[in-house]
Amino acid sequence: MASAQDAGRGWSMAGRCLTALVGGYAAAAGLATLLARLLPVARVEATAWGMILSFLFYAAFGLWAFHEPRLARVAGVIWGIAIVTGGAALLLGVRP
Amino acid sequence: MKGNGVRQSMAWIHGWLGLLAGWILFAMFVTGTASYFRPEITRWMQPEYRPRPVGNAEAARTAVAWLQKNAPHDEQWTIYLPNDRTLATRVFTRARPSPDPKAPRPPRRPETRLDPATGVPVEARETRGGEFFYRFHFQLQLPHPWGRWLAGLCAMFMLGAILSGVITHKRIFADFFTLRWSKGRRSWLDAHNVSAVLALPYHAMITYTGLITLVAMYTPWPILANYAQPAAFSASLYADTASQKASGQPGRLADIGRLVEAASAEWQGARVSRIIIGNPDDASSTVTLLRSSDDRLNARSASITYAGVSGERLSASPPLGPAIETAGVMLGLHLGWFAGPLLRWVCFLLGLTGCAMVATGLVLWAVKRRKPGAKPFFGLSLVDRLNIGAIACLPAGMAAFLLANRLLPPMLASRADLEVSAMFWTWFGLAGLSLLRPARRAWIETLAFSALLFAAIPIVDLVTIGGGAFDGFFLAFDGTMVLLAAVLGFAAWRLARRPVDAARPRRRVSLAVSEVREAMDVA
Amino acid sequence: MSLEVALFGYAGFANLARGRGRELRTAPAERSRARIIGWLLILASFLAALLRFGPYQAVPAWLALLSVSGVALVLVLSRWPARASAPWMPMTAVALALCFL
Repeated sequence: MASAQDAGRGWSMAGRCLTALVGGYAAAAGLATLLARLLPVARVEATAWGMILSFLFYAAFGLWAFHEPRLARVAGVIWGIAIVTGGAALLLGVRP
Repeated sequence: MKGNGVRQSMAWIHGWLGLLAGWILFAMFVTGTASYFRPEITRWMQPEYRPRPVGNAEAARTAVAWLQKNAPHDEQWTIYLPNDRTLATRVFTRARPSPDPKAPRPPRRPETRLDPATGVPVEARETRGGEFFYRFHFQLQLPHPWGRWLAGLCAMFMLGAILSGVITHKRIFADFFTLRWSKGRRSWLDAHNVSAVLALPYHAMITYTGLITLVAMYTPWPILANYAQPAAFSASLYADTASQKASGQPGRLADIGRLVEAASAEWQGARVSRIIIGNPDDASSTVTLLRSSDDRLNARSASITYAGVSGERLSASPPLGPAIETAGVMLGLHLGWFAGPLLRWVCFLLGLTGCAMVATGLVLWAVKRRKPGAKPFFGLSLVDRLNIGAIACLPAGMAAFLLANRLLPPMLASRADLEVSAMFWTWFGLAGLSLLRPARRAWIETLAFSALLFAAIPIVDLVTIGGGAFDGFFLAFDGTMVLLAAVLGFAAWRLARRPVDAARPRRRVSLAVSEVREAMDVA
Repeated sequence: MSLEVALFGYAGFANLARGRGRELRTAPAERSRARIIGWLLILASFLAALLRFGPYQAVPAWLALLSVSGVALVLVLSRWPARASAPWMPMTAVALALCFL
């Protein structure tokens, strides 16, 4: 994909891949964790729902990262979700 | 990411996801498909072992007798009872941890396979059997945990490829039955569409449930959010005997056969599949019996725990909530233990459809980029060669694994490892040799060689084990090998029949028209 | 054996293929009838799966058998288009017989 004409395109593709692979995982893990922490059902059930759905979240983030043309938006949304959900889960701490 | 339409972007990502993970996915699909017959492959690979079948209670008694003699003071015994597919009793033991708290926890010792009737270790040739294909399909013969991570990443790529493939394929119903032979890349596209769409529920199911089987490793984070002690999560799912403390007073186990019968009666006659005995020589020993899940979708089985010495019923696993039930059913669907003979064969055929989907997709990537008459660019040659190595050479390796089982002397030391080496040397060796030939010849010759090796299996079987091969089970196995040889041979023959590019120029006009249409279909 | 699910599935798909008239040249008047028969046979295969596998295993077993019968039909259809859908009536009869065996 990286053509010699435009070195910038190579970097932007690398950034997109990194966002999709690593950021997508972080966002999916954060979302699944927050869901598991907040779902008002039994502890074991909420944990299992979070784990079951995590791959669906990951796939959705990953595909969207390659659909949306504006890289800044992709990076902002995916890393943003990762930081917000991950941070919220950390702040909430372990379910009492 | 050509264009802004969702179809275009999904077509683009579909191609790259499929290409990057395709070769490993093909190997995972092929060995995973073989794993539907994991016990049968093991049985075929130990032809001298033909035990007298006994009841479950009797098998439990003989296993406990052997364990009491050979590992009396261990912390935990796990006994997998035989069934009509797995003929031997498999036992695992775990030694008591040393009193020193800094000493590492003793690992589970390797499996011992016992004859259910006599309770002595199985005397047969050493082999990894069907277990090897099963382990390879999610560990990829890489050191732990890298194989599992790589397999998970490839499965994730597969999930992305399935979703993007569905979004991008705008004529799912119009092309439902369309398969045209001998039409160049149009045929490859048809074959890819048909194998993907017709078995789509299977592909989506097997990919997602495959990820679920290792979810605790891939995304453990929800556990950390809900449990201060992560082990408490699995303890609430599985029968937990590790928490039972030994009293220090010696005790003797009650008759295990009676407990097996009692549990089976409580489950309306369902079989006991596994027995976990904690602190077997202690007065506070426990016996946990797990229900077989062969007759239900949920692979996470119910259990009953008894006091080991008195035989008193202590507790049973709680009923499952919807999420745990869902996860258990997903696990069950992936493993396919619920499937009776017909459904197992159907699953096997669907697995082969999955192999065909991945293989045709890989070939299609190369065919789409090939210009008639032009020399292929480096990336295209590389993809072509890797396609040959993965698709045409892996079957040869698997056949070599089975052939080595018959050809190596039965009592040879470390023969199990040699069988595995035979597979990889044949696979990668053939792929390396194929580099010496032009790509098209390489396809034909490697496929033909794979077919030959599969065809050789029944012959070698007959020569090496003689009359033993005339048994319904061995005949069925060897017959399947002939069928696989026929499929590979057919592929080689089809390729060899078609002249290189001779048909191309005559069709150039219609090709140009169809190319425009395809450009719209495939992006 | 629970082959009836697959037989109903094959017969149903064969009629749906007839109903679309793309791979098989079917008279337009016959198409809509073939489509209705096709969907009814697919429904029959689901009911047969329900009968044979019980409420819990019926859906996965049905989808699996239906997929395999679809692959089989497409393979036959690609080679012998005219003959692929011909045996749908005897197949339905055998499937019905298997249901009540």
